[in-house]
Amino acid sequence: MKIRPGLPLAAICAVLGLLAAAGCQRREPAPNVLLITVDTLRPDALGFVAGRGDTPAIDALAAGGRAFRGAVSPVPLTLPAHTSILSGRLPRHHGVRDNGQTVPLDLPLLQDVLGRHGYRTGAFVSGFPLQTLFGLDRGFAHYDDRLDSGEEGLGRAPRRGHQRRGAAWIAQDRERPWFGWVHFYDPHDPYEPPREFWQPGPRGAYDGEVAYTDYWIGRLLEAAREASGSRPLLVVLTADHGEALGEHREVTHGYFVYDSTMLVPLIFHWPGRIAPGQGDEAVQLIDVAPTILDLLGLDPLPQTDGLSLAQGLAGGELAVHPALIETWLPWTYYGWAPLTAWRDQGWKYIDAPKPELYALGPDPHETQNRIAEEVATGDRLHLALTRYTEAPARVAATGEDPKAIDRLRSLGYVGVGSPVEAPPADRPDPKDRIEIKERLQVAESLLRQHRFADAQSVLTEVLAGESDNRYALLRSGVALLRLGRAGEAVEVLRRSVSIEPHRAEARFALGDALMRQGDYLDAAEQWAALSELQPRRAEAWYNLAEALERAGDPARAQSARAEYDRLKAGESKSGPSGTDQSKADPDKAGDRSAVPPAADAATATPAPAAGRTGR
Amino acid sequence: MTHLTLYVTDDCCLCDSALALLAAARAPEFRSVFIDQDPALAATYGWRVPVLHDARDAQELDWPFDLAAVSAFVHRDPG
Ligand SMILES: [Zn+2]
Repeated sequence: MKIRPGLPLAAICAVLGLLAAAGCQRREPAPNVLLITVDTLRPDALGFVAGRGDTPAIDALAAGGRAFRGAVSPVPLTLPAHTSILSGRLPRHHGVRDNGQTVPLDLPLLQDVLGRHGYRTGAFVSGFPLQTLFGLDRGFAHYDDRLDSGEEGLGRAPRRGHQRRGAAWIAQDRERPWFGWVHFYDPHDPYEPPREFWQPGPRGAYDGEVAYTDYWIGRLLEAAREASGSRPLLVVLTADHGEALGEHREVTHGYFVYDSTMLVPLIFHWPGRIAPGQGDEAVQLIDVAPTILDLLGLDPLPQTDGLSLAQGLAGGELAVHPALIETWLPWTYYGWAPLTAWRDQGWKYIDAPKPELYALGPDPHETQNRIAEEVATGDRLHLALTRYTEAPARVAATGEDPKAIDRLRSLGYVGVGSPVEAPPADRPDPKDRIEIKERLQVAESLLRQHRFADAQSVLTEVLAGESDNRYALLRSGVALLRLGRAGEAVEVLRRSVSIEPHRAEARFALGDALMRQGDYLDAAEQWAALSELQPRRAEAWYNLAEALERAGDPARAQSARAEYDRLKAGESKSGPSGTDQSKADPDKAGDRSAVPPAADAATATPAPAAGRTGR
Repeated sequence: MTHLTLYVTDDCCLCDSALALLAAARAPEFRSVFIDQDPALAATYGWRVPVLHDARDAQELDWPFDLAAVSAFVHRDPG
């Protein structure tokens, strides 16, 4: 600007002042936020960590952002870990300790906060554990959880459509900032990448899944950048947990709490705001939500266990704090002891019936238990863990849908849906039961191959040694059912339900077996229990209606069917691609149901329960 | 701005196969357009999806295509 001579100084100052004020108001637009979670991703499957591997998109993201090579997950299970990512809380504080529970309605979530601040919110998830019925969709205006129907039983959704729909959703509206969460399930077992992506070496199929996922992440990032235009884009990429790949005799994840399944990559990418760099600091997944909100200058979520890393990302000190890790899977699946661990300053203490202590620096694969030599360190970590976990923990219910509960009450069913039981103290150590677990894996794989008689003989063998093994009981019930031995199945499944009244799949299998026996009233009890445990599971209501109808109670059957219809109508939320809930075409959305109404309700035999509950 | 567009519909398993082939061919960025939301596109591509379109010279690759065909199409130089 040229200043004309003769213009009064006061006027010049006034003009400059106005310009300055306008400059202050012309703030950078709120950034778009893209959260990418890759299920079951070990850091060492990535090129920038291992120096090998075929992951150019993630490597480029890491090179341009701040990349943590070993962030700590609080729990090696999909739904609990994602709930931690989106709430900033540990499982013991958000209450979702296992897949299949329901995210509590009062838990504050990241997407809620961003939606309230004008963000368009959308999620594109795959895999059974993150289906809407488990409640992590709360706060997202658009939640796409479509599974490939043929694969639903395995909890697997290698559909390529979902991230393409995510990309289309991102591009819809450039006026408002958006928060998009895209979840990739590919590296979860079974590992079946297209053969062009297989990597050399014994874990080539797993690494191939990661390479394949990386290709799609590359496409997604390009779409997000293009759709963002001049608006800044914050990308956060991480995983819910790793994968054991045989370390500690664990094949997948969930059973132990070793670093093979607890460490994940974590990348924050925001050019100009986050200085590039890489490190091994033990930051945590519970830090993700606090950090995103802090970077955006928004109020924090209440009562988080995680801390904001924003200062550290800006070049200051990183808020690294001790990590509490847990898995309830040995308890909830097998009836053995759950595991808790405390990870601090290079040490890890595992609070198993036979405790373990590892010096992670010299022994990153945790092969030398130092509990006998390093007594003082063991005591220190044990004490810290005990102090931290003294206060009562939260256990989420397996179903929290007031309307559904009312409906059940009106039908005369009394509740079973209290929280899953807290584990007693005197259970066997999971590491002493690894051989039984391996036998059960054999049985599981036989079941998946539909070799039900072979599976049943393995399960009978396990039950001979451990008659109350809950996993063996449930799977044996399913095998007997598939073998057409409904009477024996009912007997086994009744034991299963009495040991685990809150296991949805046990209720499902028993309901199914009773239907086949023509015991409709008793079956209705099971479907009602299932409806309470998983109130948004449409097939439970459908089967309840069917059982009541056959039991000669058309009035109550109609009421249950009304709930089924209500659920189906509500599914418009994950309606056709690229449409927000408000714009979804109800006709199209209504086509999608968990289970198509079958002429014979007994055809609703559950897929293998382990697959359905997923991990 | 990408020049490649894949026309698809929802719940179309051929489209998923096409997407897997595009990945296997390491195709550069392409847009996915869901034609069910656009009557004009639905009229043009309705029975043909998945169709790969190159905006540079309006060439199209119709299903069924294999890895070799898709690879040649996405990496070609129309000059
Ligand atoms: Zn997972």
